[in-house]
Amino acid sequence: MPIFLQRQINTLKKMLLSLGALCEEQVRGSLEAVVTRDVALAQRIIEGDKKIDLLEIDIEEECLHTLALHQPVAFDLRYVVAVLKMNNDLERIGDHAKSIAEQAKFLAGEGEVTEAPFDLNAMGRRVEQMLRHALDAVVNIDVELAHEVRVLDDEIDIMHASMYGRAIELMRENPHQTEQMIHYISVSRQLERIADHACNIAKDVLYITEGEIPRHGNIRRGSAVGSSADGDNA
Amino acid sequence: MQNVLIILLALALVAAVLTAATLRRRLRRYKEGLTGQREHNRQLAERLTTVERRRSELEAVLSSMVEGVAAIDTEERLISLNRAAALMLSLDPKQAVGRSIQEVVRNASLQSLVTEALGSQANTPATRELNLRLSPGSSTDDLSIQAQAAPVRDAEGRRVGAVVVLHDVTRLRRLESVRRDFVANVSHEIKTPISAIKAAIETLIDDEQMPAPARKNFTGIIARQTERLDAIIEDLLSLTRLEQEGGTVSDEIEAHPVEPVIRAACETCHAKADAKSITLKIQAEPLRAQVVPTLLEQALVNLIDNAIKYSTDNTTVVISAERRNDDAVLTVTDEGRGIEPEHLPRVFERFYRTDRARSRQLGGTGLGLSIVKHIAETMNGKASVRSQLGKGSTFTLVFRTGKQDGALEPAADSEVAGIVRAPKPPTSESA
Repeated sequence: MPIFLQRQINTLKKMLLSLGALCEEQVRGSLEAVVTRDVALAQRIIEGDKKIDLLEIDIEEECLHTLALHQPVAFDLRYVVAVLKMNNDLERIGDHAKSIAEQAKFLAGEGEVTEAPFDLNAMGRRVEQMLRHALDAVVNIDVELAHEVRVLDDEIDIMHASMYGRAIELMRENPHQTEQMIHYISVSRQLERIADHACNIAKDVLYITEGEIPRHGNIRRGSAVGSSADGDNA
Repeated sequence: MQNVLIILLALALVAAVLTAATLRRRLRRYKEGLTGQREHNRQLAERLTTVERRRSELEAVLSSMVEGVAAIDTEERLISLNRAAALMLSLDPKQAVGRSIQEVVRNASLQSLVTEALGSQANTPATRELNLRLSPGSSTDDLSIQAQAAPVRDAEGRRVGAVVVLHDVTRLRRLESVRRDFVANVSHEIKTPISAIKAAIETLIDDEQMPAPARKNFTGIIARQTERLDAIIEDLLSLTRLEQEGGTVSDEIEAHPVEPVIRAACETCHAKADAKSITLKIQAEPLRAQVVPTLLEQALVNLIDNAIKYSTDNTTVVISAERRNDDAVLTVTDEGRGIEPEHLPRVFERFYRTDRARSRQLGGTGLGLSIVKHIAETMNGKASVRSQLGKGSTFTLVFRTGKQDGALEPAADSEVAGIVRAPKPPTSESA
């Protein structure tokens, strides 16, 4: 029986990582579409989101199936629950990539190229790096890497917050570019959301290993959390 | 009674004989067994050696292949991969082997290719082209990889896994795009002056009563555009010549003092430098380089001309020559506007322009730097560029120095460091 469960968990892991790879590529592609103003690429990204949605459903079903048939406990239970949550986060990341691609399509339609109110390349690279680290942390259940992702998230929040001031300044200078600015703001916001989801994934990795839910500043620190009370047997 | 005794004796005798025979037979068999065992052991060892040798042969073949090869089992776990594959996928074989492909390579197309090959009934390999990022963190170095995956079957025809072969086609793709760009650019560059000439001629034909000043204006356009066309074709021809005769000039390469060549090149560019009050400053160590002086002069003129073109008025262009180890290093440094990092790797391409409108307005053909690079390569040298936006650019030519005998001698030319008249700085772009 444990062998079956182990196999099932391996399958879940593989499916989740496939979804992760897809999301990573979607995010990268959508940013490239914004920078190069490539409509065809943006369209491909928008269509590519369907694949992510389908895979998300498959993973969710597989998780439920595992829970119902194998009734895992301890580490395994946490793993399956974490996969369910990370699945959700990854699907949302896919959606954000899709909306970045939609902004890219709009921006590509504008003749005049305006300066973005933030360093698109730097922020994009940072977010990609966070997502990569988060997924690497999932692969190796690497606690240190997961912590690192949470640190990077603060940086992204600062970048996003400081973007507003610059955007307002640019809109005042060139009122006719207001529309473009709004799309840039949206891109920045999507990036910030992606970073948050990557951060959630990192937190789920911490949850798998430590059994404590590290969200909301650990408000329940000290209290036993769910199934983790019975210790690790995996 | 006696009879009974005799019978018993006889029986005992027979029994003894039989036992002895059996024992002997057993002994013989035992001995045979021993030799058999030994023989068996020997054969086994031989077979092991053969297997071992084949395996190391196979490994040697695989590891020296340029293509990446990876074997994957039915559970999608990596069984083995060769060096090239490890390099392309940036994996550490020790850590990667035994883990699932989803864990080690986060590339959706490669993953689905493997899944497809494992599930496919056909024996024909599935092919896909992937873009892999060389190293995490670097945003520019994408590799174009063509991947093929085919199922692997054992002697009974059962599927036991899949093998993936990776070809690095990055260079090929890059060449393709350079070629495509070249054809598009050359057509465009030639079409532009021709359109202008055509329009001017049509106007002249249509309007016979055109006043003289207007007529002069149009003929002026025709003259200028014809010159431009001529310059482009002249540059294209000299590029072709350099390419075709690349081998033949090698006989003319000798150790020449570089300073007089630099001086001559500056002389050629003076008028242009003066026009913008740009100072041309020479800082040359006395040294010799393995070059053909006329070609070197052409390359330097192109670089200096460029530098002047992309510099603002009243700046300085420094032309220097120094010895670094066994190399003669010539640089042309300007204080112009610099080149964006994304353009740097491509400025030596034909017709590559960082800013089309601007460089055409400055009268470049788009081939100058390309010629410089070819000249450098023809003389076994190298051309490169460094630039900082807003601060200027440095173009560097590296050649081998003269043979040991006269290498460092100031030779006939004495050392030079002086200001040669007119001033100034430049930047990138092909002239």
